[in-house]
Order: sequence, then structure tokens, then C-alpha cells
Amino acid sequence: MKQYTNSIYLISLFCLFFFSCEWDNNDKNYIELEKPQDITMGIDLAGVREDEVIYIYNNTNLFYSLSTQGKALLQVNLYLDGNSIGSDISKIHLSVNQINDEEHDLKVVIVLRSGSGSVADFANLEQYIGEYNFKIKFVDQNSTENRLKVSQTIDENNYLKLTWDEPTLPVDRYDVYSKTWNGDEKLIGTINDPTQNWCVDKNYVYGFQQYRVAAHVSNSSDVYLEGFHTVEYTTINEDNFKVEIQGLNKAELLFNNPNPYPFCLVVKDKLGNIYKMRDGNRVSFSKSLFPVYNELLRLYLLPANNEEADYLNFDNYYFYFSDDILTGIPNVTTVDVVKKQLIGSNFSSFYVYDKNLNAINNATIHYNLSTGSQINSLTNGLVAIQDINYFLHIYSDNTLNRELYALPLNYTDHFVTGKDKIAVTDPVNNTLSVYEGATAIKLFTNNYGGEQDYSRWFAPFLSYDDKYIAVLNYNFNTRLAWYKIYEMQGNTLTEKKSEINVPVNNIVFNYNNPNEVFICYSTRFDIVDLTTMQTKKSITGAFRDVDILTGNLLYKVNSTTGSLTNQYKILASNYTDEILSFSTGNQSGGRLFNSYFMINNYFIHTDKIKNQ
Amino acid sequence: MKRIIIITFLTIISLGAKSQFSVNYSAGYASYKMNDMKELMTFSLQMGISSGNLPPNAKLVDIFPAYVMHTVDVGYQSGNKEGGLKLSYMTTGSKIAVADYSGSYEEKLITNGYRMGVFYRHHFCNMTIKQHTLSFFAELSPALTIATMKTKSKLEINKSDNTTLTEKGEEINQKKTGYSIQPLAGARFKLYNHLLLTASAGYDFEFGASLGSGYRMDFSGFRINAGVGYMF
Repeated sequence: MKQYTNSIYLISLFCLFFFSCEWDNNDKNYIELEKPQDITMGIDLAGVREDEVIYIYNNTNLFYSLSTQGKALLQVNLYLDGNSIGSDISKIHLSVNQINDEEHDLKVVIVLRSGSGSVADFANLEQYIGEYNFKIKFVDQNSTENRLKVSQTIDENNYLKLTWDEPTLPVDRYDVYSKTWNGDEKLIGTINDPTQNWCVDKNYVYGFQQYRVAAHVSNSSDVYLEGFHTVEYTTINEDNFKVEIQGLNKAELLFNNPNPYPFCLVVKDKLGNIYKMRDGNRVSFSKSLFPVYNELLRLYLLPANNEEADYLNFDNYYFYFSDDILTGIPNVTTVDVVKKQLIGSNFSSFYVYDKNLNAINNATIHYNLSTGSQINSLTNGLVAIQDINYFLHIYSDNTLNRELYALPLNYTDHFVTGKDKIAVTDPVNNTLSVYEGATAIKLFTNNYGGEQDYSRWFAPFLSYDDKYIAVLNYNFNTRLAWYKIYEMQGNTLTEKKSEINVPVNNIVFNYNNPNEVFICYSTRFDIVDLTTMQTKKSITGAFRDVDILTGNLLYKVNSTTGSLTNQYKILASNYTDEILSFSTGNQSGGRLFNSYFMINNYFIHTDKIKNQ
Repeated sequence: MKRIIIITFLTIISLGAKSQFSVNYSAGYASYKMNDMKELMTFSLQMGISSGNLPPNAKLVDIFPAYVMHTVDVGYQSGNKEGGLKLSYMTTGSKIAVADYSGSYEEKLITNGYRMGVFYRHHFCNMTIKQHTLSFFAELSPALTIATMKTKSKLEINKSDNTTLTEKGEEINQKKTGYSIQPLAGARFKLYNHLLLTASAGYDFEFGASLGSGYRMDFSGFRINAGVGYMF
């Protein structure tokens, strides 16, 4: 048994031996590697320089980039005043809650892998370590102290110049932005010289514009001190524009720019033609043929250095102009031959115009006029005005200060004035009555008999010296008339000339030559000497007027039906020399007063027509 | 366990007075198939390097090589037949390693097999040379195999102050059970009627010991043994 026991011990020893023989291998696979060399690494922290103060104004992310020489970044450790503030690999977040307005230490520790492929590199224990130190300071850019104070002046070329105070902190550059009324902001300039605290905007010409100047604080990513300025300017309105008529189809626009900035004014007329005003204050443009009323001009105000072709990119203004027109726009006018003035009245006011058609007096009349009301003056200075109720008010002169009387007329009556007399035709009774102008005493009545006919114009005519009187009976349907011209002596009428069934539509006695009358036919008019009753001259066309001040004759050249223009001729008082021939728009009328050609209330001096 | 073995021996001893007991120790050389484990280690190396979990210069310096094994058996022989208990210890492993100026890294995976079984040995030829006996035998041994696996990893970094930073990885241990059958052929030389010299060769068929995912610790392989023993 003892032998067995020994055997058992022997087996146990073997077992222990077994366990000590576990597999093992001592091959280390040693690799010869070169140790990593020193490298140069760096950091670009938003462009700021190490060991200098970084300014921040708000919760800020300072983005940075690293120069790692191709080495893998293991970690970044950020410390503010020695306390860890995270390890972001692309930015440093700084909260204003972390810092006060003192300087703080910012440390950035960068750890790179060696990349050698060694075991230590594998274990991330073989590293390049870079440590960078910065200073941080909080800037309250909204404080009054830090706000830039911006003001405006003009430079030597009158361009808008913005100037601002020196900033309270060192800056690298200034960015100047313009801001329009709709909030759009545009960078108009960057000033890299921190000592230059001004900027000229050559693109400002007019209107609301706000500027923002941002002074970028040195050593900061996005810290800037701001200043705002809204341009002070004078509003441009229609009073700053004026159109001067230079001819029948030519005018000049005058621009009184209340602001000093160089500009280019682009004028676009009714037809779309473009004119530009770069220097000076006036520009010529074509207008529609005289007379025009409320014709549109589009005006574009551009900065001077802009091409006018870009005008559509700028605001435009509407401006309406008309040919020169009589003040008050009277319905009816006539010439005060005593005072050599034009007088006229609209529905409620009376105007007196001088020789240059400037309104020099006006009076309010206590009655209304109708569209058919007449106004007339007597050669003795009296003024006759027909009101809406057909009363003929007679005044002592054109001041209307003294009304002599009011002569009642019928609504169909027509009247005319001479020197001291007033002639009135009554188409109902076919009579011609003559009154004493100063007293309204009827001197006589001449009855022509016949039936009542309302399709006719039964009108009187009286020479300016009361020597001659005429009556015309014009039928609108047949366009034929009969007329009689008398010499008037007291209450006696001596017929000087008469015709029947002739296309006469008007008879005009000449103020400048009392013995001369114009008998107007449909396509011509005859100048008849009343002493001899001979036709001195017959002119093809339609008689329009004789200028009481110059004696020049205005007539309209016959035109074809539907013509868009009317052609006029002005002859000298000898009726031979043609002074002017011109065309106008096809409005009816046309008269001469002191060499002003007038259609309705529009007027233009004949010199302008001649010189255009 | 020890008590069970002792009781088993005593039972066998009491079977017959003419029978002979023997105790043998054999040291041998064993190859290990370990196909799954080799594939696993190769794949791990490739993946580890490409993923950065292993140093780029790491390589497999050993992968489940043939290695020394130890066997102890206790037999009882009667005539040409011999039977008994047999205990074998198998060990092999794999190693990933790299070292350079900065330090070293190694990762070992060690597999051990504890084969516990019985054997039947038939001595089919006996020759007497002087007072010694030479016999040739065939043997068949079924057994239960307890397979263990463990990993060891170690990182050593040479610091600039000439000290070493050592970091050991977490060990993973696995234990699985398989079974095997091992045919052998051998010769035994009995000297002076007690001292035994044996030599044998054969193949060990191992089954089981799966680690899951289709991998298993396969200790199958050729066996060559030489041993000494004592016959009572």
C-alpha cells in the first residue's frame, strides 16, 4: 500500500509539472523605427496675435485653425485663467458670463500624434504638444463711450463726406455700409488705414440713407465699434423744377438742386427720349407741339459718377408741365385797348394781365359767368361783362371798382362794344339795338324782319371808333350768311356794303386802322377799305387776329380735314411781309397780343417761335 | 476528485492478485489543428491594424504551434490486455506582438486542454530479451476534454525618464468541454520486470469545445510520446 501511496504522490508531482509547462512565446517582433523629429506647429486664432489682447463683445466663438504639419490632432485643451473651458477642436466659445471687463488669460494646448507608427504612437502617448497664450478682454460695444460719432460734411468736390471720431480702442480697419430705406445694407468701402477716420461716398446724391461705420477692433474676430448716421438732406419737390418753354416743341428744364452733391439728372420725355443734365442746372428737351397741358416728364436723379444708362435703377419722380398759361385760366379774354392790357375772367374771378401776360390785378366778381358769357372792353376804357343770367355789367374801368349799371339781355342776345356804344342783336326779334355805353340808353333799334331761326348766329360788329357797325346773319346749316356794314352817324345807319348767301362767318373791324374791316369767308378773308369799300387784299386762309399793339396779322392757313396740326402765318401790318409761319397743335382759336401767340389761355412769344 | 481517483485505483487493485499495476509518465509532442482559432487570430490581426486597435507593425509571431504535451496514465494489465485511466495536458497558443524603441505590445491567446479518459491497450506482440520484455501494443483512449482559453495583453511604454509604463489588458477566460478519441500504437520495454520505457504515436480526434459563432478549440492532431513508468 505504501508503494501505491508513493505512486500517487508521483502522479501529483507530474500534474504540477504539467501546469508549469503552459505554452508561451517570447518573440517580440522588434521593429527598427526612426524616432520622430521636431516639427513646427502653430495656431491661427481668428487672425489675432499671440500674447496680445483679444477683444470680444458678446458670447463669442473664436474659430481657429492649426498648423499641424500633417499630424493628427489628438486633443485641444482650453483654459481660461487656468480653468478648463472645454476642448472644442475648431472654436473657442467664450461667454460674457465667464469674464468681466478685465483682461483674462486664455491658454490653448494642442496635442498632436507623432504619426511615427510606433507602439507609443499607437497608444497616443507619443505626442507633440503646443501651448499658446492669449489675452481676452470684453468690450461693451453698445456703450455710449464706445459708439462712434459720425457726422457729415462735403469734400472739395461736393461729395458726401462722413467723418467719425477716433475710436476708443485700437482698430485694424473701418467698414462703411450704406443702408437704404428698405433696410438693405451694402458695404461701400473698407478703410484699412486706422488713422483715416473719414469716408467719401460718391454714390450718394439724394434721399434717405443711413450709414453704419464699423470699426474692427484689433485682435478680435468680430468685435467692432459702431456708429450710425442718417444723411441730412433737403427734400426735393416740384418747386425745385421749372420748365421754361423755348419754342413750340422745345423747352428747358431747370433744376434747382437744394443739395450739394454732384448729380446726373436724367430726363425722360413723353415719347421716351432721354436727356441728361450733368453739369449746370438746365437741360433742353423736346415737347409736344404747342399748346400742351400737363405733359409728363420722368426725372431720375443719379449720382454723378453713374452712367445715365443705368437710370432705371434709381428712383424716379414725376413732373408735369404745361405751356405758359394765363393765371386764373380765364374762360374768356379780350384786350383793354385803353390800357393795352389783356383782361379776362373765369367763372368767378376777373384778371388783368400786362403786356407780358403777367397777371397784375384780379378782382372777385359778385356774380357767376357761364361758359357762353362774353367780356368786352370799350375803347373808352369801360369794361362789359355778361353774367350767367345775361345781365351785361358795365364798369368804369378794368379795376371793376365801379359798376355803372347792369343791362339786361336775353339769353340769345349778342353784344359788342365800340368806343362809347354797345350794339346788341336780338335773334328772336331780328333787331339790332345800339346803346350809349356809359348810360345804357338805347339810341335806336334796327329791325331786320324775317322768321325766327335758332340755327343761326345773328351777331353785331362795331368799329373801335363807333363809326361803323355791321350785322351778320350766319346759318349753321347752310354755312351761308348775309351781312350788312353800315356807317353810323348818330342814330342813322348808312349801308356801306352787304352781301347775301355768302360763306361769311365773321366781320372784324381793325383797331389800328378804323377804316378797315376784315370780312372772313370760309376759305379766305378780304381786307376792305371802308372809305372806298374796295378790297385792299384778299388772303387765303382763316382770319384769326390783328395784334392791337403791333398791327401784325395772324391767320390760319387752310388745312385738310383731320390734320393733327394747324399752320399759322403772321404778316406785318402791311399785310405783305410774312413775319412767321409755324404749326401748332390742332386746338382751335389763335390770337396775337403784343407778339404773344395765344391759343385759349396758352401763350408763347413769337420770338421764341422764331428762334427755336 | 482526488478521492475518486484513489477509490478507483483501489477497486482496480482488488480485481486480481496476478495482475500488475503500472504508472507511466509520457512527454510528447502534439500538433493542434485549431483551424477556427487560427482564422480568428488572423482576422483579428487584420481588423485590429486597419481599425487602429492594434499597432500598425504588429504581426502574428506564433499561431497555435505544435507543442509539448504531458500524459500520465495508471494501468492495470492482465495478460495482453491493459486498461486504465489516462490524463493528458495539452497547451498551445497564439501571439500578436510588436516592439520598437518606444515600447512593446503583445497580445496572447492561450488554449489549454485537459484530457481525462480511460484507455485500453492490447499488447499483441511480446518478446523476451534476456530478462527484459519488449511488447508492441495498440491503444484506444476515449476521453473527456476540458478546453480553456484565456487572453493576455500587455503594453509597455519606455518613458523618457527610463522608466516603463506598463498597462495590462483585461483577461478573458473561457472554458468549454469536448470529447475525444485517441488511437495510438506503441512499444513498451520492461526492464528488470518493473521499470517501463514506452513510446507511442497516434492521432487524437477532438470534438466539441465550441466557443460559439462557429469557432471551437480543436486540439485534434498527431501525438508522439515517450515515457517512463513503473510496474508493480
